[in-house]
Formats: sequence, structure tokens, C-alpha cells
Amino acid sequence: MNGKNMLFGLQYIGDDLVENAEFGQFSADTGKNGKPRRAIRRPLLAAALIGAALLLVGCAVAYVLNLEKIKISAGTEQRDYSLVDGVYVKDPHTVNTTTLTLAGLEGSNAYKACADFYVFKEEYTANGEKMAENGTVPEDYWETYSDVMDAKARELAEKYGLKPEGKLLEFRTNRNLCDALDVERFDRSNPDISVNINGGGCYDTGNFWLNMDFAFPEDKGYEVLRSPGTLAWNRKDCFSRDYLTITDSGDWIEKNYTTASGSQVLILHSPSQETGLVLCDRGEAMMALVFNANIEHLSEEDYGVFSSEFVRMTDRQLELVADAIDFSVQPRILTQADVDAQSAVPREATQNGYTLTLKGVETDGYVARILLSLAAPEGTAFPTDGNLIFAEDTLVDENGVEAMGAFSIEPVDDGDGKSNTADLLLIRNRAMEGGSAPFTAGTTWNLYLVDIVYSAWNAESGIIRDTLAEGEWMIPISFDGENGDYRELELVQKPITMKAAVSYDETGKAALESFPVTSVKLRRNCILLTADVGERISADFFWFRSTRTKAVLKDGTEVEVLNRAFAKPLDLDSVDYILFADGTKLPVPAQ
Amino acid sequence: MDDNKIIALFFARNQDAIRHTDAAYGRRLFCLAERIVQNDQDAEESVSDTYLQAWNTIPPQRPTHFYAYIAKICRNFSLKKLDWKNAQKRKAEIVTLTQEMESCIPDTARENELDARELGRLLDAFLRTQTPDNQMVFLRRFWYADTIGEIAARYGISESAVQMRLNRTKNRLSAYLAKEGIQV
Repeated sequence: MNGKNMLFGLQYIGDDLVENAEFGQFSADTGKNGKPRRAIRRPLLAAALIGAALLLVGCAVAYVLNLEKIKISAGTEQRDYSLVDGVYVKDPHTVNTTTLTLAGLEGSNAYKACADFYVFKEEYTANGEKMAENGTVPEDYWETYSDVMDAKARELAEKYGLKPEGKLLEFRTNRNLCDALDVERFDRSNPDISVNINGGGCYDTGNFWLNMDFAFPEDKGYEVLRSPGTLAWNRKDCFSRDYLTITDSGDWIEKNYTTASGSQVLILHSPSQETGLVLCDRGEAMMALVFNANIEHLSEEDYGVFSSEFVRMTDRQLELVADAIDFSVQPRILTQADVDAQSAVPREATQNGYTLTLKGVETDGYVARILLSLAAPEGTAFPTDGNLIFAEDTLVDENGVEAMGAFSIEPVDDGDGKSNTADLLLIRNRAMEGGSAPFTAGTTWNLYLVDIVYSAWNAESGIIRDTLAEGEWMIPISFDGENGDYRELELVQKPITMKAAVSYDETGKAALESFPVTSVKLRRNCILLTADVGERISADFFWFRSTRTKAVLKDGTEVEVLNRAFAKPLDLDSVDYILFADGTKLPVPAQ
Repeated sequence: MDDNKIIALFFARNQDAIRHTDAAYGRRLFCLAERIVQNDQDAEESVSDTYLQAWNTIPPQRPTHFYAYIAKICRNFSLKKLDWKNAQKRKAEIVTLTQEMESCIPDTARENELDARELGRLLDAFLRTQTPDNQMVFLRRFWYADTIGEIAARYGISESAVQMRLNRTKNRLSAYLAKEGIQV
């Protein structure tokens, strides 16, 4: 048994534990402010990049580099599986590998610094593993890993006379980042390929990376219709730790290509690998695009047994990908001043032709239901085969603290029959987390939305996300007596006993236990239950495998409960009784 | 759209189920996958594979905890990708997590080969003996692969407090496994 076994073993813990760790909140007295905050997303690192050849662009003499010029290491690696007849089978074996730097060419200081960093990192990891085997690894060896690596990066930058990696600059939106860099965010002018930049980051020393999606038309017979990619710009006077270790599969293909805009690049791909690369040397910087030239569809047939199917880009598609990038771009070196100079969030309802307005809002204190109206320019039709979502949607209070809880966006029929309008219902559900009600009367919130995005999925393309309209909307929302129904009906006058699901076996059958319930409070949107479950961490009174709690209205209509919230708001005066999953029936007292 | 409706769409073989799953949980799944595989492409693939797996398994499965169901699929795909596709990239965070979990294994059990499901049952039983706060901290670290800093920020406590909770929980887990589980 080893640590990996333990990580995989955690796969089989109870679902309730998994959900509680995602949606639950800390005890109120342990947090600084009693309110959990959303997990901070680590900045993306442009590490999954590769370079293999270089052409000088803009010079009279162009010369081709081979892979050896950026190779910093060769080695072997142990692999646990082999692909046999389309299925991965356990087959421990060794493969040869090559590690390439994207920092610069052989002989340059950037190259040497990256090579030294790679050696240090590998040794540190190997030493740690060795000490772990002997039981002598210091307690903080892995906890300080990032700090140790950062310190080494700074040391190497100084040693080789390079700018350090610098400070990561955080722009509010992708549009702001692209505008500051002076690069285009979208290119949809080519009918054969479109490219959308959907993320990225930059350092104040000049290096940056951009995440992007490439999309191909469906009527060309291509196997690959979409591919994600990352474009890295690494200045040669800056330290960069970007490297990639590739498998020496023996089938890498190198192709010199002049892009449609006249840049000379090298395209690298391998029929047996997913990664494809386009490389261009700009003199002052190395540009490298890594993307999925081929896509491996994995499907799990049984635990640990995966089948594999490869679909591949054609040669023409590879060229189109290279054409989609402007390798002659002249990006600016950004500083904190550029971040600070971002304009304030626009207050206009209409941005880039799209209008976003607040149509209505209601709450019972725990669940906020926010109805938005979207209007696209005349002649535009919203897609009907996918979702309309936002690239970012946060609801924050006056102190900037985000409202936690389940969040969903549902399309709502706006009833006008127009294809360029749509209604969206945003629901923030705090009920499942318990605690105090966040949306009390008198509180003011700001709904911050970025970009209107079309989201879809299919088996061929996977996730599809297209930005329909750029924009930032900050919509103030106030809860008061008009849009809030804060009534709370107590359904239990004295403690009763109810059954709850405390665990599930492998077939999904619930194990039930009885607990005393002291309070069941009914609200317009949710139901709050108080019970003494002793040492039990999880006791679900609302949803067993086959039966669910529901509100039964006086006209016989049933409204189910999920995560302690009702599928739709209730008129409390019209509710007859609540029927719990264990069969307990609690009448609603007359108002 | 709530989970009930989404599951109903799966049962109706309506592909809107995937779209609604993506709208409701896509970002959470992506973050989970990205923490493990540490690059956007593989993370997106993991999420996409998750949807396909959900499509292929619901029905007959009717998950009681829908988010946990798809999150487990996503985590599994992400960890599996590390096994053979991206192992060469030597993800530091995963190396760290593996080493940290390694330290929980009592010496007497290192040679034992335990079925993952059986190990999962032991871990489940152990976690249910812990306080909810410690459960969450432990699972944020080892299930969701959060960094210490992310956990601290999430719960509004200091990094040292997170570290202290983790160390104590790991020590208790080691003792628990030695006593209850795998000393056979």
C-alpha cells in the first residue's frame, strides 16, 4: 500500500462527506468572519508547453533549429499501463523521455537557468521520495515545496542575469488582459477556423500566456472539431521555468510552415500523442502554442479499465491552427499600473449590443431567485440547443463577501416568442448549508456578471463554450419587504422521531436510523430541520434513494425538495402538508 | 435546474441533461480536475469524460447525491490521467498529496495490498469519527486537492491552523488504520 492507494481509496467514501466538503461551512466561531469564502483558483501556469525548433522572423536569414537546441534532459520513466487493442492494460514498463525548455535556445542564459531549475526540481522530488521510503522525510519537506522552488527560481535568475519571474498581474477580465497586451481576443473572420481566448495571465516582467479554444466547421468531415490550446510568450531576458517532458515515441513529425500572415513556424505533432505544437522564435521571445492535435477519448469500462479512441487533426487543420495565431504580435510589457488603470465596471445595461436587465428578485432569506432578461441585437438568435451562462457570476454583499451555496442558472420562457430575447433565472441556495439567513430584509448585494456565454456538450466535441457577447454587468440587488417573504412556519410543536439516511451501501440502498427532531421550519423556498443526530456526521431526512421529501399543496400538486430547497417557490397559504422521505406527514398550520 | 430535474433528463435520454449538469456544476468540476491535472486541457477533458460517463451510467444508476456522483467520476478520470498520460509532468501538488497520504500508512501495513473499496470503507468510517470541520479540511486537501492556502482562505482560518488540523487528523488516521483496519 502506498499514498496513491490512499488517494484512490478516498474515492469510495460516502457521497455525503464529499458534498459536505464542497458545500458545507465551517463552524461559525472558527472563521475570521464566520463566512466561508470561495476557494481561490490557483493561477494557471503555462507549464504544459513545448518547443522544438526555431526560425528567426524578421531577419533576412532564417535558420532552422532542431529539437536538440532546446533539449535540457533525456531520461526514462516508468509507466503503469500500455494501450493494447484500444484498451489500457496494466503493463509496467519503461519509456524514454526528452525534456525541452521553452525559455530559450541552447547556450542562452534563459536556457541554462531553466535547465538548472529542472535538475534542481527533479533532485528535490527524488530526494523526497527516497526519504519517504526510508521514513526520514522532514515534516515540512513537501509543505514548503512551492517556497523552495520559488526561491530557487529567484536564485537562478540572479545567477544568470535574468529578470525574475516577476509578479503575476491579475486583470479583472480576459478582455481587459487582451486589451492591455494589445492582442485580439477573438478571431472569427476565417470560415475554416475560429479562435477564442478564454483565459490567461501575465507577469510584470513581460512573460504571459493565453488559453484559447480552436473550433472547426462541422461540415468539413474533420474528426477533431474543437481543440484547446495555450500560447506562451517567454522573453529571453526573463527567467522561465517552462519545460515539458515528452515521450520519445519515435513518430514525431516536424514541418516548416509559413503562416497565412507570413510568419515562419515549425509545426510538431505525433500520431500517437495528443499534443501538437507550433513554435516561432521572435528574437526577443519564444512563442509556443501547444494544443491538442489529436484527441484521445477515454471511457471507463470498469474501475481501472479504460478504452481509448484517437481522433486526429488533418495536415490542413494543423496549418489552420498555425494560421489562426498572429506570430508577429508586439505585446506590451505590463505593470501593476495597467491593472490599476482598468476602467470601473460599466454600469450600462447594454454592452456590445446586448442588454442585460434585472427583471425580478425574490427571497425567503435563504434562497435568492434572480430573474434576468437578456436581449441580443435585432436579427440575432440565441442558440436553443444549449445553455446561456456567464463566464463569471458572483453575488457579493456590501463588504465584497460572496454569497456561498449552490448556484444554478435556468432558462425561463419569457413569453414574447422572440429569438433574440431570453430570460434566465439565477438561484443562489444557502438553505442546504444551514446557518443564518444571508438575504435578510435590508441587505444589499451586487450581482457581478462577465460575458454572455453559450455552453453545450456533445460526445464528439466535449464541452463547447462560446462567448456570445463580452461585457461586465454589476447589478445591485436589495432585499426588502416587497421582494422578500420571510415568514417561517414551525411544523413541529413537540419533538418527534423521524428516520434519516445515514449511509448507503454499494448498491445505493440507504441505511436508516431514527432521530429526535425538534423543529421543522417551512419557508417559501426552503425547509429547515433541526434534529439531534448525536455523533452522526450525516443524516439526510429529505432524500432517500427512492423517496424524496415534498410539499403537497391543497390542490394536490406536489413540489419536491432538493438540498432543502423547493423546486419552485411556495405560496405558504396554499401548502397542505409536508411529506418526508420516511413517510412522516407534517400538516401546515392554517395562517 | 435542480438535480431532480437533471436526473429526470438523464432518464429521458435527453441530452439537455448534460448541458444542465454543465451549467450547474461545470465550474466546480473543472476546478476539481484542474487542481489534480494542473492544466486546462486535461481538466476540460476530464470534465467532458465525466459527462460522457454520467450519460452512460444514468440510468441505470440514479445517484442520490448527484454532485458527489459526478465529482467522483471527474476525480477518478483526473487521477487516471495522471497515471499514464501525464505522469511525466510530475505534478508537484499530487506528489505532495501522495507523500502526505503515505505518511498516514502505519509501517505494519505498507506491504498489504488492500482493495480500494475496502480502503475506502475504512477511510469513510474513520472520517465519520472526526469533527465536521476536520472532515472538511481533510477532504479539501486530499479529495479536492486544495492547497493549504486555499483551504485557509476558504474557511477563513490561518494556514498554520489548517496545517495543524491536517497533521492531527493524519496522525489519528494512522493510528486508526493500525488499530482497526489493515493490520492483518
